[in-house]
Amino acid sequence: MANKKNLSLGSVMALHALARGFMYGFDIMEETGLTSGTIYPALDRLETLGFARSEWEDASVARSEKRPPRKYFRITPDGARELQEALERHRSLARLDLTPHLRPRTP
Amino acid sequence: MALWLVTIAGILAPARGRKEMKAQWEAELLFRWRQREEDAKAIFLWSLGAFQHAWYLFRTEYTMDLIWQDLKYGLRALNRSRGLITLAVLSLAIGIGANSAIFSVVDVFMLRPLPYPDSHELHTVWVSNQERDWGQVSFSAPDFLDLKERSESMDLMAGHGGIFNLSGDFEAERLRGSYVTPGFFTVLGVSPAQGRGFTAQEGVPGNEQVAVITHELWQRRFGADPDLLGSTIMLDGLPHTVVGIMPERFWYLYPGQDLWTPLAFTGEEPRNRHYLQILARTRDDFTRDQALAEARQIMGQIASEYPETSAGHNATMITLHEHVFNDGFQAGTLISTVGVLFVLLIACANVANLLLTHAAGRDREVALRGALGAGRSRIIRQFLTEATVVALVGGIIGVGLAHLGIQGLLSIMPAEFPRQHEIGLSGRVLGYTAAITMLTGILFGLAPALHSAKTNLTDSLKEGGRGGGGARGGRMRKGLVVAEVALALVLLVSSALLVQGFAKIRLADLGFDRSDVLAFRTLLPEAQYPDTASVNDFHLRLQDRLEALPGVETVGGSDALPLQGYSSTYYVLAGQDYEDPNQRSITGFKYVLPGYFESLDIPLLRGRDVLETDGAGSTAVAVINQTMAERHWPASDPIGQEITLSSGPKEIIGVVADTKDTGADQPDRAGIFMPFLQTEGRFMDWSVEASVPLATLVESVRTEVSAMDSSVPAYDIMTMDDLIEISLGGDLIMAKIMSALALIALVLALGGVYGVMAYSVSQRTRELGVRLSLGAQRGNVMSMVVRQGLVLSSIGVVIGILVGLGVTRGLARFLFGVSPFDPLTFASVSAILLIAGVSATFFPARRATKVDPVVALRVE
Repeated sequence: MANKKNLSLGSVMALHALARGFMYGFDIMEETGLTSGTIYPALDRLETLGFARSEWEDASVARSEKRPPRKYFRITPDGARELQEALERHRSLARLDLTPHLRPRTP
Repeated sequence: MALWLVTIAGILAPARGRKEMKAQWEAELLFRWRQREEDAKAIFLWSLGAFQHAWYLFRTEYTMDLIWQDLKYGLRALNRSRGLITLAVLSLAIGIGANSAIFSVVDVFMLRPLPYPDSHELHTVWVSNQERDWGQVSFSAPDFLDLKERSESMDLMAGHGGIFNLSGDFEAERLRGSYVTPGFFTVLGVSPAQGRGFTAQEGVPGNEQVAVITHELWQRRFGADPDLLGSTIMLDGLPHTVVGIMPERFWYLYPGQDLWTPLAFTGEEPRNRHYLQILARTRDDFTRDQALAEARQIMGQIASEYPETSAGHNATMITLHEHVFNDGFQAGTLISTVGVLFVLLIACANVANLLLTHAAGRDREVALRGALGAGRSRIIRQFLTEATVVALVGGIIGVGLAHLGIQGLLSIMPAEFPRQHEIGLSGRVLGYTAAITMLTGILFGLAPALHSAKTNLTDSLKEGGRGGGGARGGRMRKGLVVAEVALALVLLVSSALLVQGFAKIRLADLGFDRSDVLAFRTLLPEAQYPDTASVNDFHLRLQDRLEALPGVETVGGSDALPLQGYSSTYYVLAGQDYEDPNQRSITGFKYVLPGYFESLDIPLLRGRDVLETDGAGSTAVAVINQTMAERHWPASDPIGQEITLSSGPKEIIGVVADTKDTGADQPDRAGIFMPFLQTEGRFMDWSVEASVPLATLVESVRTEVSAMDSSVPAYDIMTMDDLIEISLGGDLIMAKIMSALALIALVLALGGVYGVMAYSVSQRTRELGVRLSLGAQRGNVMSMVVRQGLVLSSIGVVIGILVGLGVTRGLARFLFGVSPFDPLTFASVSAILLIAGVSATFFPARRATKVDPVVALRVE
């Protein structure tokens, strides 16, 4: 299995959106502002890693709206833990003081 | 549309998960469609993500290990049929190389914007006039000034080409350049790299003795002298201050212009003298259509304000890009692109064929893998991997060939084609090459892959069986051979017609003898030669000196040699009346020196030639051509009649035979020749008829001119044949490109037919052995095999003729004196292809019949 530390920012954002209750690829895309080409592979990857699981929408709902059923995703307990860690990681990054590096260079 | 994209993306995805992925995307797509009426573009862009999804699935499924396995296995398999594969790689390399080479030119000429900032805003503006049948006519100075002043949507500049004599303490040189209004550099958006452009003050008469020169002239003529800026150079005998040097490789309209000087209007310019080319840049808030509408409105105002000169005037605008790369370029690049795509298609058919043959030989191997548990997709992937290897190697060799092809194209390209230095293996060309390599790889890899995937396991595994897919694969191969022959025929016919047309132009009787004539030009600066007397004196003395050279027979001259241009004018005959000045007849006219007709061997039919005595003080005379004589005096003698042009009445003194003065493919037109000595002209197009090799005269001509006046250079010294060749430059390069493509197509198609026939014969060795051992005559067996090849070629030829008839119709404008449906060309090309097809079959057939039946039967 792939190393979970490699979870890309796109995947983390998708996971984050799942945790906030967005379930469909299209909604997550709108919520995160990422492209469709990033979101759908990310969701598949989260599912493979066990951080999300997918189900198909109830056919009767879809039929009433005259469209095929959509696939939706939910975050798993593993996914929630991973998200927690990822958020920690990103937070610890943010805590660095970068001001010394941002000074304009003098000749 | 978006749903199609998802379907296409689905093909990329591995079989496992494909159905689910497609269902997911379609559902999302339709949901989005129904729930929120999004615009089509957003949905389209969104659906592109399906490709990334498919690619993701593909990567997770198809790991590096598997790729490596396929690759190793594939290379082994390819290596087993080295001959076939080499042929395939070479075919592909040729197809790709030819495409990339042509694309490199098409890209620079047609696809890239011109090298000026916001070049889409640049347009050329022209006068049009329906009543007078004017499509695109230059502007007069007053019309331009009015348009410039009244226009709110455009910034405008005007200019016209010029020839300048550059003199100094070095050998005088003739330079091409332009007179431009001071706004030129601003409108174009390019400033000199050093110094400045022109100030408005320099557009006032008396202040115009300044010049901006090219970087190249600065380097070449002035040794990149850093002090040149601000110093003076002598142009046409007058000192000009160099105020600017343009950036390297700057060009405008056509390459070869070396300097620009201000165009200063005196206010005396007549409104009916049309000589200015207008460049306009549309201002930010205006579209091209608004600008054109405004220009039309202003021209309408001018027409009503000055009806006697401008009635009916209107305006047209074309983009600067279209003006520079005009119809000729557009048609030329289109034809070469189509031609080269044909070559690529033939190459693809060839490769598909060779790979099919390669695959067919592996039916049993594939069946065995299938029996051992390899899935269909695994086998398809195996073949695709092999095809990709072939495509990649072909692509790499193709890049090398493209490099050679580009060198070849540049070497035959006429110097007046702009932007040649940009043509090369650029990133865009390499990208294009990579794209067609991938595409062709998938295209021709798919055929054998699908073929093999359908292999029937049991049949193929049976001892001695010929493979279940044999018949189907055979049909596909035969279809490809037919397609190749058809495509090759279309290309061969097209190029044969083009070459014939070109040869006809070259060999056409132009009405004069050009074989023994050396041509060159001189231009006398107005400052040193201010009047007719000094100009005439120079010309006559030079004529005498040249005629005294050993080997020179006659020396003539005119303001334009045949095929080098022709001015037109209205004329009236004595006693003729007209109501509307625009209804007067039009004739071409030229000014000629005595000796012009003789030097070009243009027969004098009646009367006398122009003489030295027909000078400024004597009666104004004219020689007319045969077409003119027949137009007005079909039964009587025109000698002594009077004809009136804008310059006054002339007495007709002679009639000469017609010459093709506007182009070999143009009809004869009426023409008048007047004595050069009775006009004021400083430009002379000389014709020197000689009995010695013309090359030996070049230096003496240069010396004689320089001896007369060292500030007057003789330029464009070349044989009349070369001069004509140059004026046909565009047609020449088309004929050369198409011939090269046709030759490539023929070789590729022959290789294809040969490959397939050789394979099919080798497959039938056993059958042929049986026939032979049962008593069939070798001759009969051989004719049976050859007949098969003949049938395939014939079908290809018939289809090719039908397609060709459509294609050559589009070529008509390039064909001089040749019908696009020329039956002889179609027949002979068909015959060539049939003969070639049969001979490609002949050798495999002979080999087959030489096989010992016993051996043949034991082969299995």
